[in-house]
Amino acid sequence: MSTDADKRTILIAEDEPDIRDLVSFRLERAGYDVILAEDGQEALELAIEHRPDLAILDVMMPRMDGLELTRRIRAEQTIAAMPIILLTASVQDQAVTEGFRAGADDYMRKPFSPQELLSRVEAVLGRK
Amino acid sequence: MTSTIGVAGAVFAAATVLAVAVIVLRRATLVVLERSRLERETRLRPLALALSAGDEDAERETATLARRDSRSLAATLARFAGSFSGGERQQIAALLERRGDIDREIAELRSWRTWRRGRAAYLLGDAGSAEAVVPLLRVLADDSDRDVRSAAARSLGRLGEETAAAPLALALVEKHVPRAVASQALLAIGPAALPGLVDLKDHPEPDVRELVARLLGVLGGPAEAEYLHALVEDPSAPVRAAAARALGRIGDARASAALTARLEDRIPAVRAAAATALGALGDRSAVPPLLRIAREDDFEPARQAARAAASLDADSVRGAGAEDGPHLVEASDLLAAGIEAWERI
Repeated sequence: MSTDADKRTILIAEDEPDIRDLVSFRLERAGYDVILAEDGQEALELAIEHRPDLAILDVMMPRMDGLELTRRIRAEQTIAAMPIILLTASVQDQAVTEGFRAGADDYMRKPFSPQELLSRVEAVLGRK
Repeated sequence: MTSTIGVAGAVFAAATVLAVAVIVLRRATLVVLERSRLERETRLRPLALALSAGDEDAERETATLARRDSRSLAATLARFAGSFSGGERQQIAALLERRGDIDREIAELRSWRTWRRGRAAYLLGDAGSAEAVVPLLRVLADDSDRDVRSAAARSLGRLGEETAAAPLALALVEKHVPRAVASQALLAIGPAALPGLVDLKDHPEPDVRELVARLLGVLGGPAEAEYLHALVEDPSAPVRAAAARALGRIGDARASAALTARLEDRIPAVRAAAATALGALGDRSAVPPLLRIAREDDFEPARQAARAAASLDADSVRGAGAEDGPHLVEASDLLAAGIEAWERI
């Protein structure tokens, strides 16, 4: 567990409870603070309020999908620079391309590897 | 007489009250059972999360669980496994095997209760254990219930089991499982399904050969083109059309001559499919025959040929006049309006 990780807060926006819990469990074990949102609108409000160090966003969510949420985050001055990793169940390359166009820094496909997700979180945080 | 009617009325009223009581009791029981299930799942969730991360202390803790708790935990773990890929999924599968959960669910596939067989078939797909493959294939082939067979089909796809490709394709064509379920399972298996599908390319049923052609186009690459070259000459028109579309999708440049020949097919749908595929291949030598089809053929082949000719050589379509027929004029107008408009038709 790195001391750097102790200071970092990660927002997880995911409407599937299993995936939300699995991701948050692994991140908390790795020493991160975690904020949870069940839909895009709630995630945007929490992101503005808490200004997390990184956001992991599901692409398909109620109220506001992950792509629109990414665009809204990039347009919000106070959180525009926040790194974003998208989680997508789509096997289409186009979905990934759309994610990058919307402003995402990285993406992961579902089903996912928690270990790989942790590595990507560390890599994205390390780049910023 | 009056007393007989009175007795019958009383019996009817008593039976009605009894039936209502049974229904109310049944519903109340189901509510209690569901609450109990949710309570167990919530209580065991932290343990399941720890197990999903390979926590050895948590595994030791499971040894003392009551039977119902143990089954609830297995169901949650199987769902978790379904969310994971690669080694972490295999890790949960191995845990479920060690705990005897996989053997128990395989035994459930023989239950006389349909819902138990269906639940087991579904869970085994998420759990990710290879031990479930043969039992699930047996369910796909033999179970008397369509929903249970569908659960098995879905699970074989989730397991990515390549030997399931041919049985899934046959189950789809024979309508043993819904088309969408079997198709999704085959797509989930991905390119690993190709050898099993190729084995069916000479199947006596045209519906099977058509499905093979479509799936080779979706899952295959240049290595599968040779099988499609044979299928594009098939006696069945739907097979020829599916093979033509698949060749276009794969982008096999060697298919240009065979597809150009299919522009003369006796069935319009095959000619239309061949025209679409030629447009996708990018071979400009196909433009003259496509322009002829666009001028002279029935609506759909002509429309597809005009579109293909425009994509291969826009200048061949621009400025088309009334003598060229409505499809080329339409194509010319759309090109004048911009490629974006053309893409939308």
